[in-house]
Amino acid sequence: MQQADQKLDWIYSLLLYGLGFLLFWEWLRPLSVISNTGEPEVFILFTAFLFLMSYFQIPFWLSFPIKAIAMTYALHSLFFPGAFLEMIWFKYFLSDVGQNIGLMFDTSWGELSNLFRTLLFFILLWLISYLMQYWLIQTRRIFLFLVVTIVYISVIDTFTAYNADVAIIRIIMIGFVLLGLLQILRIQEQEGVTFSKGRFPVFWLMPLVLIITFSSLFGYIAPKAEPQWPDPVPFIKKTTEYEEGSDAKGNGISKIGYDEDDSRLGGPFIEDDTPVFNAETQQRGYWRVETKDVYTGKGWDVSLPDRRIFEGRTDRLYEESVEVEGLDANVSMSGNVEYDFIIHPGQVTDVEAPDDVQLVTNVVSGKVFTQKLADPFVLDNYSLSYERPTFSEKLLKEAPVEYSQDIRNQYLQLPESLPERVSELAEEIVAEEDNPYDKARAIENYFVGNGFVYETKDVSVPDQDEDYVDQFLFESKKGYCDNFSSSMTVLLRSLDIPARWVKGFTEGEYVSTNGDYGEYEVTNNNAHSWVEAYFPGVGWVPFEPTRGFSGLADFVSDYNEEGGAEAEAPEPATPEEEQPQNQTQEDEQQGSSKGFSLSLEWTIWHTIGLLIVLAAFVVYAFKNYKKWIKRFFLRKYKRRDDSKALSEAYFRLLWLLELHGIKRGDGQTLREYAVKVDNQLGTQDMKVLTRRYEENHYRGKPSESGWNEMKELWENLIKKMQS
Amino acid sequence: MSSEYQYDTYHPSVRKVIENIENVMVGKREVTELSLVALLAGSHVLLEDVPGVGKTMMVRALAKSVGAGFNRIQFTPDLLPSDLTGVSVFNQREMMFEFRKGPLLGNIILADEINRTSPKTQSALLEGMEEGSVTVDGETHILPQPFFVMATQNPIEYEGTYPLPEAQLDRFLLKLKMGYPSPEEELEVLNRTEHGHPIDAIESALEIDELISMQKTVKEVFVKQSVKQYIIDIVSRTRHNTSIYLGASPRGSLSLMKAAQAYAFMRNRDYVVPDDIKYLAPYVLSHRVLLKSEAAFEGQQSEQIIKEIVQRVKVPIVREEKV
Repeated sequence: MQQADQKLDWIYSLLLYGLGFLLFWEWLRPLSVISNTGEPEVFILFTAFLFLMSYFQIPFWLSFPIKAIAMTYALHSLFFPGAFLEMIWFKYFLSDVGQNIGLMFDTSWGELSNLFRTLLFFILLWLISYLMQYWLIQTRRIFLFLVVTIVYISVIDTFTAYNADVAIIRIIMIGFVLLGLLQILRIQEQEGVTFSKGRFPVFWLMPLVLIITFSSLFGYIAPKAEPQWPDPVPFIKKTTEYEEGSDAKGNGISKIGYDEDDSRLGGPFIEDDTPVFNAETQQRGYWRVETKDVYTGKGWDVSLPDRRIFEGRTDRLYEESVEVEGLDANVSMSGNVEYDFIIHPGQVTDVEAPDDVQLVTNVVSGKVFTQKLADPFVLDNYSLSYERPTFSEKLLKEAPVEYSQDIRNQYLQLPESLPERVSELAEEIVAEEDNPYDKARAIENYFVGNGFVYETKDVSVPDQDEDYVDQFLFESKKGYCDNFSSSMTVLLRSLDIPARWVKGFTEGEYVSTNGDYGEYEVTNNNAHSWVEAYFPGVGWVPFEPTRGFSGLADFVSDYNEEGGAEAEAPEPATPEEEQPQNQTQEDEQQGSSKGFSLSLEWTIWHTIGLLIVLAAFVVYAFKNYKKWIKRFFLRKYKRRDDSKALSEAYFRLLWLLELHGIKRGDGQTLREYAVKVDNQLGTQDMKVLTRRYEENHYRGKPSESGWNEMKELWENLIKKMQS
Repeated sequence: MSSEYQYDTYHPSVRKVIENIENVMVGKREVTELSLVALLAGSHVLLEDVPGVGKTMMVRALAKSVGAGFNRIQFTPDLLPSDLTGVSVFNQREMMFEFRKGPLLGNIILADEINRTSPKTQSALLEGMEEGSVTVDGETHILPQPFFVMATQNPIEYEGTYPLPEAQLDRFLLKLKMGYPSPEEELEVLNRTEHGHPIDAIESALEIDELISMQKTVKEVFVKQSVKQYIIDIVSRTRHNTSIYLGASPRGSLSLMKAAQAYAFMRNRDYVVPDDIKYLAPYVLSHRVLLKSEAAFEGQQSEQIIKEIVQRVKVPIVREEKV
């Protein structure tokens, strides 16, 4: 028995420590996202080590030096090259610690060295491992820690790029199992219940595990409502007037916005509705900044950094055959960002800027820089004239496939590392199309459905040996505009259709109308990228592959009154063109509504199932709870042998009898009640027990317990009740 | 263990007495017991019943069993106090007054038809019962111990009676009713008395000193605080009952406790349980309350009302009084 108990303790502690560690691990997981911590594994391993030491109950005099050595070893492996046993590093370490302690007293927190901060962090982990041990083993309470963990993870999830979708499920499961276990342990310890023969109380744990597993699974699969509150981040930023700082980027979180460096795409970003500029324009449309032509396998570069003086217009986007409408726009920057370039819709023909401001165009990207005396200059307000094209679908379909050598060289480029399967996929997609325009449309539509999901948080970054586009097309299928646009560009190129990657902003939010002009506010959230394909005789035609992009409807709304074979827009425009788009939209809607009804049905069935299971459980519990209670008290009082045991057991019996349905009136004496009980149960035991209880209770000097003699009668009564 | 568990056994001496009495009395266990309760509590009993149900025999058997002297006083309208207490008579030989003991100066007195005599005589009796002494010609005579009065009254005939006032009824610890025997019991009575009365055959089962020491022990029976509270709860309920015009006095509470102590002793316990109280309450309290006339008119019995009250009062069973 003793041995069995010990074994039981052993299992319990292992479970507690294991679960406790898993729970604490959740604190360390986001480290690499929220801080500069390069190697979180070291901290996790160290924590695991601390838990292990606590679990084996290594005496303090031994565990302390071991832990200290482990900590210095971890520090060494993080910060110092060379062997651990060379003590030179240790001297440095000591002097560094000394220095930093001085800094601490000066409260110059910012100047603490990384080494010292890591040391402090290790000590924190150390302390927390003690705390966990205290909670788990001493007080048997973990609720507070669990709540704090959930709050921590939620905050991290909300305010940083860390995605805690799975973490929160893990936490809930681990936490609830822990709570249940500790509760069982607490009851056991308080009530002095032991489980027979040291067997692990599977009986108690099964419902716990089942309930938690079931509810977690259900919660995980069940459809979830959209967040009821808007994302608090932009609001908080607004109120705190958070400056567009560089910290965020440095910490590995991207924030949406116009970023000039696209050499390495991918990874999550967080939304940011900091206004970039306000624009007055007659027609809504996308805002261009530049195009990029070199796909590196990880991102985009510009092949030529050359610039030349802006000569009234950028390189022509559209050939003469394309109908254009001359329009103008006023842009006023909101001052939150400092751009030394012009943001413009369509084909720029003229920019009104102060005389001393020079405009310089990059030959390749078409980006118009603003500078003053050869230094970048931020132009806050400018007016520009531009041309808005109307493409003829007929022309596009009939466009020849012979491209000039320049075009071929520049816009069919693909990295050698691009996996074969990308071009194979491209061929597959366009198998039924015979002209470049239809092929482009087919590719554009490929991203609708086929498993592609618009996603900003859980977006992967390609590893060293992975291709950005390949990863998106075949593995993740989750991403935002950069993924979709890059992929479409690459797919087009692999089909020998010249294409390039365009960056800029979507239309922005409508603010007000001022005569012919509408005012729009464009924020960082509007930063966008799309695709342009080249059609000889037409020029560069934009495509929007980004799936489910919220701006899609806005594109459509752009098509207006013109009912002919042609329409206008930087975005696809003829009614015929509209057709497939609308179709896809409808498809999408249908798809989603189907999905919805399906999921609704699913929910209903599963809810019913869950309710049935729950009801069955409740019925079962209700039918049996009396039995369980009786068993519980039988065990409890069997072990007792003190002077109060008889009274307590007697009272418990009265309670159980009432539960059993033998009620005692207020005016009924115990003797009368005992007669009634004995009559109903067909015994004499209750009377004997009552007599004994009276002796203990009504006498001046209570007699010695006598519980031992009475135990049998007492048990007998409870068993009689059960039968 | 017998088929039915008995909570209590009799105190050995008490059992002897009861068995002794039962040689004479048939099926009057309850009255016997209760009479003993009153005797052990050092108090008195009022027997209310029709003549011929064995009241006298009861008292005689009791007196004989405890080895005490027995006097019977037949109360008549012309009975004078001095007929009870005794008178001083001039002894001419000795040339001095000599006190002639009245029948009251005995151990066990049967005061038959107490309501037939004049209030003056009644109060002499009651004074003796209360004070434990009688005063004749300025001389106080202590009544012998034990002193036990069993008074009877006939509930049927009220003409020419002097009903005892409430204040005086209060002096009796218990009011009992004999009741008719069942046919079987009555047959047994006939059988027993066929060849001479059994009363002549019985011996005393107890020495009188033993009885006195038992009376003392009764006072030591423990009454738990919560049980006392139970007594008070019951008594105070009689003061708030809608059918009762006048509730029981504090003397009622006191009597109930005393009776319970004696009863517990008789049951061979040194502590009182609520059951004792519950059982005794109607006997102790019914003659101490005055029913409202409408209740009496409806035919309600005070015994029944007391029983109902007791049934409603919460029995103290709490684990331990939390001080």
